[in-house]
Amino acid sequence: MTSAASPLPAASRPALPLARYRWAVLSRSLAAIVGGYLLSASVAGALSLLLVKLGVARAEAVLDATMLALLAQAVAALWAFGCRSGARAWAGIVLPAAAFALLGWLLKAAGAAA
Amino acid sequence: MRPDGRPEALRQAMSWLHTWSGLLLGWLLYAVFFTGTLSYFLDEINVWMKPELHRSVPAAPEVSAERALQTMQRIAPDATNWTIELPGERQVAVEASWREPGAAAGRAGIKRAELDATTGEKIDTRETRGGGFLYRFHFELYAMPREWARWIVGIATMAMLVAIISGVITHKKIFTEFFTFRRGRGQRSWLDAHNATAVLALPFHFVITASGLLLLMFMLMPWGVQTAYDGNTQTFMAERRGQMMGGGGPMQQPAPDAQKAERAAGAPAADAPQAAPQGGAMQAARTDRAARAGPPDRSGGDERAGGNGGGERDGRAPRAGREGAAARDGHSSRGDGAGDEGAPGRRPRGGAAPEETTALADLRPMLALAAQRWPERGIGSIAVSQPGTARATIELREAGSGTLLRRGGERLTFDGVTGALRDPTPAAEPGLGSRIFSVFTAIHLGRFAGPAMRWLLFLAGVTGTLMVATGLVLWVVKRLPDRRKLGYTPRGHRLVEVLNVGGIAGLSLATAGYFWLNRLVPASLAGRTDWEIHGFFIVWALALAHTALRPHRRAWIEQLTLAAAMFALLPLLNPLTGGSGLWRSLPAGQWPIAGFDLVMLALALVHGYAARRLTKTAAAPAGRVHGQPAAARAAVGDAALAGDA
Repeated sequence: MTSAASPLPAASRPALPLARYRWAVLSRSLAAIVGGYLLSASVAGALSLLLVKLGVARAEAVLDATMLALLAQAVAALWAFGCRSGARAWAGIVLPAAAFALLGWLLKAAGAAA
Repeated sequence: MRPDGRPEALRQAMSWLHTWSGLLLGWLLYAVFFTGTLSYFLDEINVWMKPELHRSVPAAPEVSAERALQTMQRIAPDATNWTIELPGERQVAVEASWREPGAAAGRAGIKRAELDATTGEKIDTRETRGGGFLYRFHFELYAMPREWARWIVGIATMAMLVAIISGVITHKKIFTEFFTFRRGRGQRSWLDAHNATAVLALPFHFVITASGLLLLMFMLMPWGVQTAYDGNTQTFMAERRGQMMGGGGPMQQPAPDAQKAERAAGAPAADAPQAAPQGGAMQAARTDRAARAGPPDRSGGDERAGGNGGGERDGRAPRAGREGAAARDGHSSRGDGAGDEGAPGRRPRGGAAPEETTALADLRPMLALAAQRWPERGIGSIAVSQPGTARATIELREAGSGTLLRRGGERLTFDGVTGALRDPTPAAEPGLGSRIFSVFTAIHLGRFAGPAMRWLLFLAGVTGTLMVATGLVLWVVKRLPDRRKLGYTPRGHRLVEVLNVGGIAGLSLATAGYFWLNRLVPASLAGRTDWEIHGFFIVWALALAHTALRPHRRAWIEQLTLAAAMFALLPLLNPLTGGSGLWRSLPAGQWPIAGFDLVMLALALVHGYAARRLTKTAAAPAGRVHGQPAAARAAVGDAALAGDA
């Protein structure tokens, strides 16, 4: 904690260069904020349609999906910084976001066809 | 996130996240918490800031209602509607509003007056934004497009949610340590104080943060509406009404409150027109707030407060959810605040052909019926639609709400000419999601709260405010060892210190200054609203400058002491400048006025206590500082600060 908070990496141990540390923080922040928002948006969009498909009233479906989407954003932020590696952090956010986006697109296409 | 790139446990990672998500937007969150907590007493602040109203003492509701109606017949005989809010626990005078035929669309067309509760006479009040300024500031900030401000506050709220969750994960022994408080142990004590305030009201902190997001939700996250409704917010809001609103006998026709709704819905001309989804979200928030009918939970006081002012920017939210939603939708579709007629076509628009004047039915039997039906909460307000015509209706609304699931209380609608009771329409049952939404937002808005619950919410808000404050101080205290090791104060540390004092103690000074200016700026001065509000920011800026010039610890002590004195003297300033002092307000049952003075005394105690603790530990030798001479000298004040708790 203290070591992480200090702007200076301890000189005694093999440390990441400060610049690299800063890039890592930036990358994960972007994963949390931008990736998290994309995940959240795709959850809101896809779940709304899915719940409607499952017979939930439309207004209720949108409300439920949007509330879950806000949770998704928070969980994404926790995930982005809780992961061991930056790659995992990104993958764990972008892949579900893509999956939900695909689901939403399929449901939308099915709805349009019907 | 370790700078050395070594693997770390989840708790360490969460601790890092907690620290930085909490710090970066911490000062904004502090201001949001502080002004938001004060907003639990929005109506009380509004009454206090209009001392002209203090001579109005509560009367029997029948008396107030009848006198008010007589006055309305005299001062607004041609109005298309009247809304009369009766005095109660949170309001000392009658608040009347109406719309003249052919009046401008939107807020501009609304006229308002405050009437004496006993005589029904109109009371002229000073121009002020009142508590509405603080209330608006807590989610719309100031002097920027409100949509930007809501996004900024929304992002900060999300950071807060992340900080709460990561904080809980970090703190594994959360409940054991809750009972641990180590006094005078520097960093440990600050940590304990932060933990105690966090855990003590953890459910509140979670609910208040999550519900804050829910209130901004459809602006931040319009994508569900985009897919399921093809972005048609109007339809969405209309369908949601069936689940969110209702209770008792909702009117099927636009009520006079639609005019209020439109004021809420209509973005003031000065602000950028809101796009539909955003509009929907923010008006949902406003409707919520104001839909809480009746004395214990009226809102939109900012409107009332700003009633005389030309410069006020916000609309008073609709009292009635259903009508509010109708007007909201109208707004959303038109996007310019022109949705003033609720459901168009049901009511003749302003400028309709004049009709013969028809006398209103006798109010007394209606009031008696309502009093019988609502023995506990009584009547909150009376809405008369198209008075003086054959189509007049009179709607009585219950004060407050007995349930978290519905907005506002029950309503009774009568034919305005015959006085016959109309059949209520049953409301739809809300689904699970709607229930969660309603309960969370009801708590955020204190919609259901009686006086005891309101104080409890206020105390929970104070706890949250202290949690943010102790967290910010803890950041500084925790880094004192580093600083001593370095032998100097890094610029970032100093910046956090300055923002801490200026953001925490400085905001208290600014708020106290705002209340002082309310009484010191002459009541008749043109543009006095600006003097009050600009004064608030000037005091805040001065506090920040003072912090930057003074040693850290001295800055804390001086500002906290001054804030304590300013808060403590407000109950004395009140009777000296035309208000009703505690010795008068308490026996007369003027609870809003007495409540404000008592809150100010409580704030004075909190600030005085903090200042005293800091002074005491400063006098004691900072024995634990054995550092290098230069660093020790630099850090000694802070070490003493650390020694305090």
